[in-house]
Parts: sequence; C-alpha cells; structure tokens
Amino acid sequence: MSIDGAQLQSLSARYVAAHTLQQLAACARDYEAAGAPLKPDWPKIRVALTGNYSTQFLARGFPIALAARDFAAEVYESPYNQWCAELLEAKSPLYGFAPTHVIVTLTSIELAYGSLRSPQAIVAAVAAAVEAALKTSDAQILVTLPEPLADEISDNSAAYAWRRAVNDGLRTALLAPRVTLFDPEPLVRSAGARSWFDDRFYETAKLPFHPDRTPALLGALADALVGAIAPRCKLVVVDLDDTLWGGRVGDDGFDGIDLDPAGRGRHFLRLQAFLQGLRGKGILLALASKNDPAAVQEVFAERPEMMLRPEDFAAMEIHWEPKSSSLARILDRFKLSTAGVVFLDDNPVERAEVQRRFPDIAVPELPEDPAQRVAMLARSGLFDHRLATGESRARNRMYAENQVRAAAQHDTGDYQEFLRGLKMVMEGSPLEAARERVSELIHKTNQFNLTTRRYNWTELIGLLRNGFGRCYRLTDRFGDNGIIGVVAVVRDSEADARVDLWLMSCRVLGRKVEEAILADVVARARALGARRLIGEYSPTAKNAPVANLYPRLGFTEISRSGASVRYALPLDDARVGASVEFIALTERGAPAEAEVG
Amino acid sequence: MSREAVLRKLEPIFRGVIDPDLVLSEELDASKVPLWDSLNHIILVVEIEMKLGVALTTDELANLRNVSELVTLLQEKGVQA
Repeated sequence: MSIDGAQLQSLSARYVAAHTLQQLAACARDYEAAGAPLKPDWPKIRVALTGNYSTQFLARGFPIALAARDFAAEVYESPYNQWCAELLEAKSPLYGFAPTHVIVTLTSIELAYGSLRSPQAIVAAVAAAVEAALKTSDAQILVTLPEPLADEISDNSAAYAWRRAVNDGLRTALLAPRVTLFDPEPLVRSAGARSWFDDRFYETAKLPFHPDRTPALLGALADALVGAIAPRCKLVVVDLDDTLWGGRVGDDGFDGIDLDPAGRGRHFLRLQAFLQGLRGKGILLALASKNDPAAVQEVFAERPEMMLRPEDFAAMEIHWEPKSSSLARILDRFKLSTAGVVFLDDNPVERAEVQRRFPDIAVPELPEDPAQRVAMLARSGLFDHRLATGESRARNRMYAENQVRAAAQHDTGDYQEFLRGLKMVMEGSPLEAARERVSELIHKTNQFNLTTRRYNWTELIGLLRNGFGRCYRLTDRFGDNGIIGVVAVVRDSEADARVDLWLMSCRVLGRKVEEAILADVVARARALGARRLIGEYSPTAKNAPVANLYPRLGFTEISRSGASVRYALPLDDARVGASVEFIALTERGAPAEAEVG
Repeated sequence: MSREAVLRKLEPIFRGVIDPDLVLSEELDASKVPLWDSLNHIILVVEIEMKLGVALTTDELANLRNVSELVTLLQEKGVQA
C-alpha cells in the first residue's frame, strides 16, 4: 500500500502544523500506516540516528519530516546512549544499515554530568567517533553541539564557560567537509529555557527537553540534514528601490534615498547585511531593478553607507524590461535551473510577474513594513544553507568576474498574458480631482517626465485655459496604485494640440499604461478638433528612460532645438491612439465602462 | 469528583493517544495495552497535564503505569469537572 499525492499533501500540512508531541506522533503513525510514499523523483536517503538520550520520538518523526521536505527517508535508531560504540566499532549495526546520513545528537545534560564531563574529554571522544565514522562510511555526518542548559544564568556562569569550551573544541576538531555542525542554541533561546527544559522527563524518560519541543527540534534537524544534502538556496535576485534602500533613486536622487542607520534606512541596511551574510556562505546575489544604470552606479559611488558593493553581485539587470526577462537572462547566463532561486522585491506586481513566468522560483511576500523583512526572511527557511565550502564561495567570485551579457529572448506572448491577468483599470479625471498628488508628482517626478516643467498650481491653471489636464489612477488586482500619471495638453493652434507635461510614476512602467494614457489624450484632442498631437522631450540628468517614448508610441520627429526634440502624431489616421485592450479606461464618477472620448 | 467521573475525563485522552476504540477501565495497566509503551506514556502524561490542568511530580510521572493509581492521584490533586 502506498500513499497518494493528496493524502501526502494533507499529511505534510498536518505535520507542519504539529506543535505538540501528540500531534507529531499522530502524523508519524498515519504516515507509517499509509506505507512509504511512491515518489520516484524523491532522493532516497538512509538516516542513522545515534546519541546520548532518548531518540525514539525523533526517529519516529524523521520519515514524515523528510517527506514534507521531498525526501524519502529510511531511519535506523541506535540503542540508548550507544553512540560511541556504534561509531567506533566498524561492524556495528549502525554501519550495517549503510547510512547515507548519520546524525550524532548529544545533550549537554549527559555530557556535563555523565562520564565525560570535561570539555577536553568530550571533544576527544566526539572527534574520535566522528573520525571513525568518516573512515568507515561515506555518509554525511551531522553533529549537534551541546545545548545551553538552564544553569547558564549569566556569561559568568560555569555552565556557559563549559559550553563555550566544548563548542570551540568541536568546531576546531570537526572540520571535514562531510561533517556539518548543528547548534541548537537559537532553538532553545527562542523557546526560552523554561519552556525547553523539563527535568521530570529527563529523569523518567531520558528526554532532555519537554516532549512538546520535539516537533521544533525535529524540524530544525531535518532542515539541517536537507541543507547538508542540497543547499536550499543558490541565488538571490533582489530589487533596489524600496528594497535595498528607502525611496526611489530615479526620483529622489542618489543623495535622497534613505540609508540612514539611525532612522528608517537601518531596515534596508539590515537586509543588505543579511544578503551579505548569504553571499559569505556562497549564495549568489544578483540585481534586478527598473532603473537607469547610471543612477544606480551613482549610488554605489557616492553612498558609502551601502554595505553591498557592485562586486557582490554576480549579475546586474538594470533597465526597464520586465523582471521575468531579467531572471531569464541571469538563469541563462549561469546555466542555472529555477531550483533554489529566490526573488526579493517590495512590489507585489513585480513579484507576481516573476512568479507567473517562473512558478518554481521562491518569491517570498516581503512585508510592507521594511522593519519586518529580515526577521521574516530568516524565519522563512529559504536560506538554511549549511555547507559553506570554499568552492561555493569561489563560485560567487568567478561568476562576478565572468559577467557576460547574453541576450535572452523576452517571451512577448507570455508577458501579455501576465498584463491581462493584472486586470488593470485606469480611471481618468481632471487635475483638480487630485490636486495635492498632482502637485507632488509635478515637483518630484524625475524619471518618467518628458519636459520636467515644475509648474505651480496657478501657472498650471493658466496654462490649461486653452487645453486640458488629466490625471490617472491605476488599480489592479493587487490594489490601488494611486495617481500614477499626469498630462497637460495645450492647444497651440487650430491644428495642433501639444502635450506640454507628461509624467508618470515609474512603478507602473512596462505595463502599457503609457499607451492607455495616449489613447485617452488622442480621443480628447480629436474631440477638440485637433489634427496633430505634438510631443516634446527635453533631456535632463534623470529622464533618459523616456528619451524614446514618443518614437515608440508612433510619433515622428519634426524639429530639434538644442537637446530638445519635438514629435508629431497625425490624428486623422484612425489607427493612431488605439486603446489598450487589457486596461479598462473609466472616467471618475462615471460607471465603469470603456470610455472613448 | 468521583472515580467514575475522572475515568470519563481520562478516556478521550487515552483514546487520542493510544487507540480510538479503547474502553478505559480501572483494571487496565500498561502491560495489558500493547500500545501503552514508553513513548505513548510520555505523550499521555503531557496530554493529561495540559487537558486536566494538573502538574505531576517526577515520581508520579514515572510510576503511573496503571489506570487505577492514576485515577486516585488525579482525585487527590482535585481535578475539576
């Protein structure tokens, strides 16, 4: 008999939710009753568990714990407190089991108060046993370090000094690449010593923790084991604006982004430090940001607070294309599969776009509040990478040095599907409808700003006496993006309507919003009887991203003066200004239906 | 609380841990119930402490291998209905 996929899934879900020993035991029992899962693609591992306390609960739990992590495990459990004999004796039942993984789990209670006691004796005994295991078997070996006992009342206490001496000794002695060390300290600390320990159960059952702490320990050991088999994460692709710093460099400037360690910027720096730690463990980092590359270079050059440096990133995809294209290029460049790839972005739309094209990439939902992000990521289990070998650290450097830009094809059809799925609705209204936000955009927008004319409200009203102004609010299935676009159109002559002002929030770039806005403007200019729509582009230090906007929208160049360019679009051509099929245009206060003029 | 009432409170706990069809009686002890092994005994203790709101001492915890003694002890500890 074997378990089917749905059963396994519900059992795994129950296992993950189990927080008492009874719940865990019930899952283990049901899993045993259902028989081994038939998952041919699961790696098969043979886990031998040996230690100096009662390990039955862990042994019972390992198969389901590893099944929940997509491993098919068979488990052998040594008799109570036989770890020395089992590991030292080449003909022991443990080696007879032919394990692929050996877990040596030792409690401080027995180490400190049993026969070994002194740190030197303990380190020598463990080192000898592990050395024998390395010689006798080719298994991976996971050794737990002694847990902090409740006696550690201060860093002055003898118990603390004892544990430090044992830890230091073991860390120095157990350096072989096949050996992984597991420190239960964070686990005990987060449970709290009071809730972790319960001496009654050690006295009666040789269980060195409260029985209900078993699921937590089991999960951590299974993670450590799986991490030692296959590092969970090999590449993190990360966004910049509002992810690695506060604000948007395109609008706020390199000197305006928030990296203040004494303020909100600290949360972004904390994420940088977290990523730096991952890189230290050999995980690749790459950037995917919708930005002007020059602006980003400026941040690296001018903001010494940046903890991550350009050389920390094996690849940088900084442009205005969809992030899924950036991911595709990065994967292609390093010949990586999507397994073990994590994408970090504060923007839910970018996350959805990447997730849609790459369902296997891990895309954690970063909390809105930057203060909560690192804690969330640390808890996520995505980064439990326990083998930091010299090779993986070197790999990072090698990738960074060999950075070659291989063009990857951007799958247009698929991207259109994504945009369709966003269910975008754009609501147009006169500028008065959002006066404050319009003023703010006029004064703050740098990147998507064709003319960068910083009008005040009076000037704007005067300008529009002979024309019209529009602002646009965009909502999608992820929520309200607020006012994301402003245009001011002036009637220069009987024939010509001129777009005097056009600016947009760069958060929505690449979503055909500019086409939808153009459709609205064209319809309105036609209604006024204009025969040409004139567009202007005046370059600034920041607005290179829209240098080609007008040609891209079908305008042709008509004149140049200095660096500024003028373009025209013939309105008598019926094909001009077509609406965007997947962005519904509505008028504020009007019923939701596509509006045509 | 009567011995019978304590027994009725214990029965669902035993059923959850050991056997959903178990009929709990004062005559039962660990030797007569095959699934009442040392592992399940620990789970029983944890569940009884949690569900009945009592705290057992180390000695009590070690020696509670038959139902009759367990009932007596819980009565002494004044398990509430």
